[in-house]
Amino acid sequence: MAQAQNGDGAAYQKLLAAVVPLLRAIIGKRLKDPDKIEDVVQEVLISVHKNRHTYDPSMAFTPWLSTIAQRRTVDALRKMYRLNARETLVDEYPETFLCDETNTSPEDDLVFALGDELKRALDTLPAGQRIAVDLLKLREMSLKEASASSGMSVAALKVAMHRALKSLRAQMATEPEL
Amino acid sequence: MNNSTEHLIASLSQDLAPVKPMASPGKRLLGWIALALPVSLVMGALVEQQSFALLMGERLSFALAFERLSNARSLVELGVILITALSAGYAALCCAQPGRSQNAWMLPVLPFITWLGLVGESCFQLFQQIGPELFSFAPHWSCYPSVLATGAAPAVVMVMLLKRGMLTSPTMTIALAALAASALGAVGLRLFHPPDATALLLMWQLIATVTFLGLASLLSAYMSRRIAV
Repeated sequence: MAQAQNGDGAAYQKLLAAVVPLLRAIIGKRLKDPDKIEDVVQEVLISVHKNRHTYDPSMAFTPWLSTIAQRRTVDALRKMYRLNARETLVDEYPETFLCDETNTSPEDDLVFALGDELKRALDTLPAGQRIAVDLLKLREMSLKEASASSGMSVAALKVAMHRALKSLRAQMATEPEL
Repeated sequence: MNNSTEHLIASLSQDLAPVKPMASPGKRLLGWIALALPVSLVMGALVEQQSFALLMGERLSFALAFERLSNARSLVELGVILITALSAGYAALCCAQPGRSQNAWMLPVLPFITWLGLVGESCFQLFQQIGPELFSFAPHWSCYPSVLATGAAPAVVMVMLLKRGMLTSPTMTIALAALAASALGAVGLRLFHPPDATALLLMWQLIATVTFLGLASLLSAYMSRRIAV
């Protein structure tokens, strides 16, 4: 820690990585949820960083760290109790809009579902169309660059791209959940 | 290790700026006394001079301070007040540095009780001398400028010192700091305030101190709850 106070980033990184198991043990005595423990570990690391000047190099490091860890754990518990006292758990999330399509469950996460569907739809395209989408849309090449890279003519790329988009649009539109 | 924790450690370690380690509570206590006590004494003397000139039409001499310094009873009281200020200040500064003893708060307990005992005894003697008809608990409002003048510097310097540390137990730290600042302010008050400060004035200052401690503790507890949300 004394090296870290002198600005030695490598020693500091090593120290912080080494104290994480100890922090988990200290925090784990009061908290049981592993995700919550990890959150508090990170809060303790931030506190350690902000208050690293308060460490006295002539004193032991562990009591200094333990005090900060215990304080942050108490803060987390206090916050948790207050939130629990004010929050009401519900089985289903309330509707945001009347329309059914807007009320999706967490499992139907729109972004990820779209990403997966798009990937599956791309895999079904013929090789020429897939190359056109890859070069022109995913790698954002110009028609000339894509032509030079693939050996396809500019006109052939344009046609392949047009057909690929048409095909993708048709496939994506047929998904009833979306 | 969790990925996000790893990333956090990497980002905290990147471009790490060197920091100056905080001095020990003893050294910071010396700094507090060296800066706050002279300012408190000067401010106390100036305010008393002005108040006395306004009320009595003449300037106050320093003979009062010398007289009190030569009185054994006053010296004992001053010593107890000063020890209370030093021990409470040391304990407050310990509370603002993680890893220091958690039992430092016990240091000012005995001096503070002794101080309360001396004030109580003075009040009792005064009560016996003047009788119940003349004995009044009414606060002397004209004394408050002196209380403020002597207490401001110790409080401000203490807050500056605490802000550089980390409050691991805010309620206790604020209570100890308030006691320390009040006690150091009382030294100047005890020396320069013309009315017999052994009795009612000190009693009122102590009542004000205890009230301030209670309010500070409540405020601190309230703030802690607010911050935790």
